[in-house]
Amino acid sequence: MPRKKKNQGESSKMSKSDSLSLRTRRRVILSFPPSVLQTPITYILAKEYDIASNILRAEILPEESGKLVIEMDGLPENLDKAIQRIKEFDIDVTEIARKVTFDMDKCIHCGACVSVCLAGALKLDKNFHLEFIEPKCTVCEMCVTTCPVDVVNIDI
Amino acid sequence: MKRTIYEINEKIKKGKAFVLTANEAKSLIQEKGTKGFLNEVDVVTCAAFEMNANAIAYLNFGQTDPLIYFSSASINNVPAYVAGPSDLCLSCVAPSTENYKYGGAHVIEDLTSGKNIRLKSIGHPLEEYTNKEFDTWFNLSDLNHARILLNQGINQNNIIACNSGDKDINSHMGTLIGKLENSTFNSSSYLNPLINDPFCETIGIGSKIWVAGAEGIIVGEGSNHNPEQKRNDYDIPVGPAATLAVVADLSDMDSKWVRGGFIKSFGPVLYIGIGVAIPVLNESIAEKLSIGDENIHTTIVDFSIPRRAKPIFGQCTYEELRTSTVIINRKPTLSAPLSSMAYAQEICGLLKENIMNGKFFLTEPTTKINLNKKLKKMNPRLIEKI
Ligand code: SF4
Ligand code: SF4
Repeated sequence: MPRKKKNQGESSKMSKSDSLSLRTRRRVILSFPPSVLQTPITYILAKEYDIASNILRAEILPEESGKLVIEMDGLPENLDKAIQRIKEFDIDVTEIARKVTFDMDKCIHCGACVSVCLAGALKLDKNFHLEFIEPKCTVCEMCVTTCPVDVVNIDI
Repeated sequence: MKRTIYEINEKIKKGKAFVLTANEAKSLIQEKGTKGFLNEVDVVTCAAFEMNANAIAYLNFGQTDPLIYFSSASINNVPAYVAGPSDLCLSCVAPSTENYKYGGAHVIEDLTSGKNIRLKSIGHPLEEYTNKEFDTWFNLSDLNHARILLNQGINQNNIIACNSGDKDINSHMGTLIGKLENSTFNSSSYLNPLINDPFCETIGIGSKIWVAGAEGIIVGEGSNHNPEQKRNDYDIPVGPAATLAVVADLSDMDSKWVRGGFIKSFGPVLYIGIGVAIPVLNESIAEKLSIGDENIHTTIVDFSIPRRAKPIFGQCTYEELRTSTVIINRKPTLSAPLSSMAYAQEICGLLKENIMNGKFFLTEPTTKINLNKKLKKMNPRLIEKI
């Protein structure tokens, strides 16, 4: 499964405290009117906003409107700007909210997920119990595959 | 002052033994000094809830009619090894043929939780044993017995894993993000039995211990036993050192403490809870019990090179590690554990309760752990030596 941790390239020398530079993923549904079907959205996203997009579903019929479900992967501020830009093309954007959830009854509080959460959304409290600070979570999904007992799920 | 295991057991019988968890013991020693501590405390409970790879379950099934001599068998599609006509061995790291994330460790968890699971077996076509195939659902209560050998059930210290390379590495120490972004460690440090008894003065072959709620017994030195590891100023080894092998019966276990796990790019592993009671026999033992995370060191190993000898970035203490940031090669690096301190602490408490309620007694080991063994390496040998 692909996963992202931080901006590659020039900013890779940033220190750990720059955790805002973490790449994150967002899923959106784009509804195109027939007039803008030719707009090379994914190209613009990649070229201008350094966003990698993964097309999850496409329903585009020639001469008609289309629907595209894509997963965008980039820096949070770029994602915001890019979504703004897409809207300017008269494309309707609906975000699919995704979040990770922890089944705390089955969690063994090992800490393996904490070790991969560079966003700092996971930590162990003073009694060594796992604590999830959801506002900091970038839904990078690193913890999902790292949890040895499979208690982290993605909710869409 | 000195006391014997016999005297402690007499006190336990009368409900008069003074028992503390390792955590409580450290604060009492700070408050009263080792002498004061020794005068009051009889037993200190230690624990670990770590990942085990070197474990097998030995299962004895009842005979079928007609008789069967297994030639091959699987449990929940995890291949088992034949150990006798109706006996099977199940490795906790063996993956299922249907789902690579499910393995022997998960079968062991399912057994202890009383779940019904599936045996598929083929029999040798023999004259006495004529049953050629046997397929059944069963659970733990259908077996004559089921025991587990944790061949590295107790570990004295471990390493810190990190990765200075560019690419992430999925290792047995979890996902190590490149450029030293994170680091993982795997020890219950100040709660660990072999950190609290670093020369195995009270723990030995024949010692009874707590294994996931059942009574277990230490049967010898374990896999990768490396007692010659360097020690720090407080006599604590600074990396993987002594290990102990433990045998316990699955049927008395509480499944809360037995969990199958899966580590990416490593395979199935078993998490199992271990509790050890250390008798406070004399001052030297009391002194060792006073050691806290600030004086327990471990070695930082760079996993970027996939070889037996890996580069090392020096040492640090568990106190630093548990702040969740450790400096590795001048870089602040996220550090996180892989073994559950929350569970280890809970186990310390449970074992303490068991002793105070007269349900768990201490045992005199029959044989000392060998602390003069060399850890061997396996190298290819092209000529057969006579
Ligand atoms: S890795 Fe899984 S079991 Fe371990 S603390 Fe995180 S959520 Fe809990
Ligand atoms: S909690 Fe999990 S998904 Fe959220 S940022 Fe941390 S590792 Fe990523």
